[in-house]
Amino acid sequence: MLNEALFVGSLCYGVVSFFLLNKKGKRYDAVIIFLLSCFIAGYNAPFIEGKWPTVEILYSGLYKSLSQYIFQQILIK
Amino acid sequence: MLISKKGEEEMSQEPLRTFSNKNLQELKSIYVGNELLLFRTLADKDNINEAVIVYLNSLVDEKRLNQQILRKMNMDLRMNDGPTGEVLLESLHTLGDVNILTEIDEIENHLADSNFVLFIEGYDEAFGMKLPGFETRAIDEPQIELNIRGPREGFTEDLQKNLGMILRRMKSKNLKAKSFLIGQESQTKVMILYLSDRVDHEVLDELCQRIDSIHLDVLSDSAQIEEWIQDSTFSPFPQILNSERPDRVVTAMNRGKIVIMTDGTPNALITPSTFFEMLHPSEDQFERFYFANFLRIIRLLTLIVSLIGPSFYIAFTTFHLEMIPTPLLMTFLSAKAGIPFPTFIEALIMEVAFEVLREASMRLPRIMGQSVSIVGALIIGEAAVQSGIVSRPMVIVVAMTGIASFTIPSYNTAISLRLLRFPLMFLSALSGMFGLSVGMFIVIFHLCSLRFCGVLFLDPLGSEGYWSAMKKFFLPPVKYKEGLHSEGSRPNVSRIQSQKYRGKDWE
Amino acid sequence: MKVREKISHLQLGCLLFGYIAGFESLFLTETKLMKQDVWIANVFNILIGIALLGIITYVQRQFPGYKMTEICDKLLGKWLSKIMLFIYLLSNLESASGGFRAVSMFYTTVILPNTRSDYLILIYAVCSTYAVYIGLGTLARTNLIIIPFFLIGFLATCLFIIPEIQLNPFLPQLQSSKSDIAIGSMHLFTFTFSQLITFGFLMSRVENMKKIFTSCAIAILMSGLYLVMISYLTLSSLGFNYVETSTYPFFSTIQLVKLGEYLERIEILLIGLWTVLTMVNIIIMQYVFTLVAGHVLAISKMKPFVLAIGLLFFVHASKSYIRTADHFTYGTKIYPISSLLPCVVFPVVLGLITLIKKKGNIKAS
Repeated sequence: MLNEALFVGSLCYGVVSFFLLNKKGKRYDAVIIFLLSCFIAGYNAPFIEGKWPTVEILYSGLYKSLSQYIFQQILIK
Repeated sequence: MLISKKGEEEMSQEPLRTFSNKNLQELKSIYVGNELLLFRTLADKDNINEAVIVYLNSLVDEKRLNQQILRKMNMDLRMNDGPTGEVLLESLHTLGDVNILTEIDEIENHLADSNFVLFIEGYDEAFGMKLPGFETRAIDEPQIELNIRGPREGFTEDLQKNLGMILRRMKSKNLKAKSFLIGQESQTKVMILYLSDRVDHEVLDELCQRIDSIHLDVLSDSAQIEEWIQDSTFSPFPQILNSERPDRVVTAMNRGKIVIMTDGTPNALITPSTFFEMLHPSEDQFERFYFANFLRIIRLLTLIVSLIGPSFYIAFTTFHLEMIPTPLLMTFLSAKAGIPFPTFIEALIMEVAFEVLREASMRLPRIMGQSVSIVGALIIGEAAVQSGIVSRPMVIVVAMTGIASFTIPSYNTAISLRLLRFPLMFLSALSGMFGLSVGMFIVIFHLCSLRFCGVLFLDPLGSEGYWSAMKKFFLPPVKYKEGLHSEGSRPNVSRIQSQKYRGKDWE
Repeated sequence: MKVREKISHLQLGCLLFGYIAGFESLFLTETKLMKQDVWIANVFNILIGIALLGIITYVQRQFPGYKMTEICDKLLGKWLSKIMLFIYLLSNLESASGGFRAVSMFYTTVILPNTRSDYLILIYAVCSTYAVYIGLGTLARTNLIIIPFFLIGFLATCLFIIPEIQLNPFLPQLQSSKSDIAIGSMHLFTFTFSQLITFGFLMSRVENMKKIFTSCAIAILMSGLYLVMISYLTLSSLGFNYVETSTYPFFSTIQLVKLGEYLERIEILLIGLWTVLTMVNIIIMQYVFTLVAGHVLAISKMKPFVLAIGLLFFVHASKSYIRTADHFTYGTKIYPISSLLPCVVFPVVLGLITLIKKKGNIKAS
């Protein structure tokens, strides 16, 4: 339930902030906040299968082999 | 031109005419339907009505008006041969301070301010003199700020009396007073008092601006001013100290504070106030410093008990039973056996009942108050326990919390702590010490964020070094106070981090 | 003109102390690895920390009126600076999420086993978002108020643990292999002073820039000393084997505190203080994230973004490090490597470029 609430909440926040910022003439900020809210909503989207990327997943993929190599070198030396 | 509304000019400012009848007609048309407006004529030797005195009944001292003023004026008219106007004016000048009024607006304001106004035929001016005759309360000991030792005078609703009490105690030539009229209809007089060599002039300017910006129809109490001028409207903590004691006000002015006195209310507002000043009553000045400091520490502890006592109990008995010594834990568990409610609900029932009882006892007539207290104690203390609604330890916890909250001198601060107790109890019930720690962090964080005109509310904690904070918190003996002869020659609050500060980080 | 509130160098130093002492004290991964030689890791850590601090303060001092983000733009150029700052943002998010998860994992493991970790993270996130919204000055003052309680709690712990000391934790010395020393030092540095770059972004908000290095260096020394003390206290009271196998060795240590016959197991009070200091840690991360993100994305009005970033922190933390074993593995294997680029390489590059530019300016003049 928390997931669904956050999904709806973040989308609503994004839309409302978009309109409020747009009204103040800050179109660029409005677009950014809307995109950010959509990105946040993506983490809690009920219908998305699979994982929305987190930094953990990204860095685990990116640094795994480098980490293995470095630690291996340290252990050897 | 008369300015009756601050910064704005009245549309209907009419100058007086030389025929007093016409002036009186105008005045009657303004006060139509108001039977309190009275007219007394003054006749010369030939019984020609040459002058009229106008006043509002019950504002002016009619007895003195009749016996002293009218009588003297009439006698002077009969005995002196000169022009009527000159005779009357000379007579009036011997009786007191005379204000010369040239416009109807000024007359209205003077009449409302307990003045009587004299119209003389042939003069296009009127003459006003103050003669207040309304009843005021006698000077009495304040009901809330009681002292064992020290003065027992408290402010009343009469601003003049209150100012007299202050001026009697503070005879410095640096004492300045500035007045405002607030309330479009009520035209309530508000005075701010300060010592010009000690006050922070930036704070003073800011405060004057804020008072000038007040737009109300009727100003009935200083609490309205307080709400209007404070920085944070939605904070549960009061940011301005109020006091009914002239000695406290004088001490505050000596420390560079600005005092706001309002006509019609006995509460003086002291700004800029800090949280710790709300915990320190004026009695600390009148006791020996050992005892005063001891009581300051006690008050701090009772503040903590008042705020987080029930929350601690809920957290420990719900989540952290291992912390309670085993014999005590056995007692708690056996007391709790058979109670159908969780600890949080028990605490909520008891706290709400205590608050209801407290409110009820304030509204009841004194005759019935004692019986209600006894009934309340019986119901809450005994019957609730006997019937198995709450446990005995909970009654003790709530009673101790209630007593602890009574030790806080500032009633407003005590109320805010009572209010905050409930969300902290909720957080404790939700997640034990984690919730309580987070809750306390938010409370401390919020206190640190509060300011008044740039002055930090939690000063000196967090803004100055620990040693200077300790020096400010604890009361030294009078002999060793810094700069004995110029105590508080600089403002006693720090404005560190406030020189250019005007708003939150993201504004 | 509205100017953001400035903090004093003392407040920055205390923030640094609270940031490090609060969070790292519970895990002591380097102590498990190095045992009685843990002082070596701490010495390395302090030296590298001070060196890194020196580099960052040097860079800031060369550009006194500028924020660190603006300095990056000046030194690296607009786009390279944005890339580096973006990498820093990812690292910041990684650290903060790790912090959220560590706290919730600790509580759900030992104190509140029936509570969902998401709710604990939510409470934390709400609190940190509110704190970020209010601002740095208030945080600095709050931290100054909390630190004495933390130190009193710590001193009380030390005093009451002394009777529980069973063995000499200092001997025999130099038993750890070089690889253990290297890995232990790397772990310790990653979780403590590698985040000095975060404080670099706050240095422009300090009133007296000349005293930043001194205050922060003292904070680093005090944190190092504190970590050494708790490491050896833990080793001496629990024993080497127990420390190696325990998930939260310092927590186990403070469970031994007894006040006479009647009061024992007061660890929850100290954990309450630890919770608050960890909150300070996370708030600083979130605050700096908000500042840097505002610069990277060139946002003119940051106020609505504070809540959005708070939401981002919450959802990211609740979706990261879900399995405890993965969290520990990540913390020991991936995090020390991933934090090198934004936390070590980045400030060193900035320092070098500043030095080169300064020498170039001197030659030109």
